[in-house]
Amino acid sequence: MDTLRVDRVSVVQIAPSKGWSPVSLSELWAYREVIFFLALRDIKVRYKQTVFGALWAVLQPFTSMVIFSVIFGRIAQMPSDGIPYPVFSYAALVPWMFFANSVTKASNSLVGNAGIVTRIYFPRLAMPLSAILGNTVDFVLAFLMLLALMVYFGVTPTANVVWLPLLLVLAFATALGVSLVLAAMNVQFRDVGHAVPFALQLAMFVTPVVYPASLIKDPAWQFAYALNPMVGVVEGFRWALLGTDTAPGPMILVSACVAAALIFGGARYFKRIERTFADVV
Amino acid sequence: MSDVAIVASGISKQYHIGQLKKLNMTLQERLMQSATAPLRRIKGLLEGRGSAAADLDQVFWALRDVSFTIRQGEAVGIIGSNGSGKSTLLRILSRITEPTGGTASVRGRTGSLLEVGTGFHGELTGRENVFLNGSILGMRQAEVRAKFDEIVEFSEVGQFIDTPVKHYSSGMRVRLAFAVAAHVDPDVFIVDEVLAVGDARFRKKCLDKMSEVQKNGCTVLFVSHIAQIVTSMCSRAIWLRGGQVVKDGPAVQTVAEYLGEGLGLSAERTWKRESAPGGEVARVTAIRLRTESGEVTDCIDVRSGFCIELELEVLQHGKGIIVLHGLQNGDGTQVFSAVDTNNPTLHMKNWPVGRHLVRMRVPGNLLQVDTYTVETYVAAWEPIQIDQFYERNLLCFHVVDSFEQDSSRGKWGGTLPGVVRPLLEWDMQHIDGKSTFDRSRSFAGR
Repeated sequence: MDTLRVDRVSVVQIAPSKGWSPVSLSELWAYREVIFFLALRDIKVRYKQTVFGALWAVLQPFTSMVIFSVIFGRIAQMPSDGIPYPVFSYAALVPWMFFANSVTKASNSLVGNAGIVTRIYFPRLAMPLSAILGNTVDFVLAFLMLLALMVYFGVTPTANVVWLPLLLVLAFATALGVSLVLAAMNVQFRDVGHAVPFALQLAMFVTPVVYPASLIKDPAWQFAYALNPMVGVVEGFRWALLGTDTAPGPMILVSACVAAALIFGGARYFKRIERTFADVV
Repeated sequence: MSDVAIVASGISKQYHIGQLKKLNMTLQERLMQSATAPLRRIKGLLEGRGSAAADLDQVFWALRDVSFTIRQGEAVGIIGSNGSGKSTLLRILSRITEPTGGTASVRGRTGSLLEVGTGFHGELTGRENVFLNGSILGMRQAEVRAKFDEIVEFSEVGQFIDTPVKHYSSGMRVRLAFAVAAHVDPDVFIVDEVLAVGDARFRKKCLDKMSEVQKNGCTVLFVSHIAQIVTSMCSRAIWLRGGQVVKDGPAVQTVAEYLGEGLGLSAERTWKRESAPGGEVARVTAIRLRTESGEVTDCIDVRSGFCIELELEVLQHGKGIIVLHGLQNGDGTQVFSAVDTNNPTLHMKNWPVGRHLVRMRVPGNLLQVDTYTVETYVAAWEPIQIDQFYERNLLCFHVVDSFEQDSSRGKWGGTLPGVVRPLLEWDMQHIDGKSTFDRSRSFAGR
């Protein structure tokens, strides 16, 4: 219980840090309750004083799905790997919205909590981390809706469903990696706050949300495409749940590498900028 | 040395302040400057430079080479005017921001309260906020749960604990926030100017709690503008000015020096005979504050008496002189005005020509712990009252609390609110089983 109490005998050294400093996972672990409570706060506060409450977690992807189904499914006659278009697009929207909402919230987490950041010490990584964790509840709710849609359209999940957690980890890692860079950058450059919603909108179109990845045939383009880790996540979701023929091939390794690089680089950049947060924010 | 809680050696903190590099630029240069500014910003960003704007080369040292050692269980006050670096120092010691140079080491768990209510969220209930705030301040959930009732009781929020904090009054919010922070039970408690909020009664309660925490062996580092709190809470004070340590020593002396400097007044003023202020009858040549032991000082122990000495030169024969002194405390309240009426040898009698020394004695254990200024009025009498001299803010002195327990504060650690702080006579009789005769006699007999 008393991990923080370990500090009692320890002596905290304060000195100007130089260059790149490593992320202390043990410290992050010691502060796990702070991360938990911040995430809990985000969840509790999100739908306070709203009429629909947590229904919003479902309403957002659901309305997008309806609109996409009309525009891309009906009017544009977009192919959907043999799956009813509403399920096809919704199955992509669930992980995508998790990613997009996470990045939006996490990239604003330091600036939005400036009052805490400038007055209390804790590992700053807790902020983006808890912002993303707080989104998992929305994800679960939207996911339940996905199951309902599958029942309605008579789509049965495949045994590949067991891989779903790994895909989720990939989505989480991607969101975290991107958020670390953006959150740190946002402290200094509020441009980030303006750019993120816009950039995410564009990013949705380089991710196979409204169309199948099978439309991209050229291997060179496929490789470039896989550099976006969310491609692997989204296609993997459809494969695991809807049984499309989009099994993650070697390209998922590229995605995983990119995600790992994002986390690693993001964390280092974050740590490097971290020391000035309280002065600049 | 195991009993050392905080060691700071050569701590410096540099800030960049926004200022354009050149002021005499042409329009074209200016346009170029703003056009390339984003590029320079990005360059700065990639280099990990912590500046908020592109063209910052003006630096400002918030702290410069600050060193001290604080022993475990010591209560140290940090004083200084606005912008002297007090808060920066606390922020560095609580690891919120990094020093630019120098090192510090802090032993044990640090609880810092740089602002009351940090991390409170208006939409959450008081209960939820206690848990959130507690964990941010470094408490385990189990710890918060164990201390929850105590926290609520201390905060006096009572039945509103399950109401969203946004509906709280500001006082309630502060009370709840301090209650949480006070129960963190740290080894080093770092507190910034937080007690300026809240009503006097609750502030007293907070101070008591802090003394209690300190008596349990916790090191307290305390910033306050209210110098009286520093002297009553802390045995030692560090005075910062312009980011540097001016004085580090016993709280009473350090605070007194700091306060004296702020007002630019001293405990003594003298004038040359030819330029002495006054009228045709009397002139003031000197005024000073002297302790009972004869020392001229601007710092009076709350327990000791002192006198205000006025040197007068009477120029005309056959005139009576009236002298009045008034004392104003730190917030401008007139504490008293005193005339020499009650001394028949002085009042309205004819004063011989020449120099006189008029003394007004103020007993110890009368004035509250505060900063005072003295105003003086001198008039001639006979046959009508003619003003000779009047000036406010002639002298400035401080009545400072003492750590000893023989003042009216006794063994109690907190402050005693009030304009004055007299040491009164108390007695107690056990009246059970005694005749009422004793009771009626009790005061009449004096």
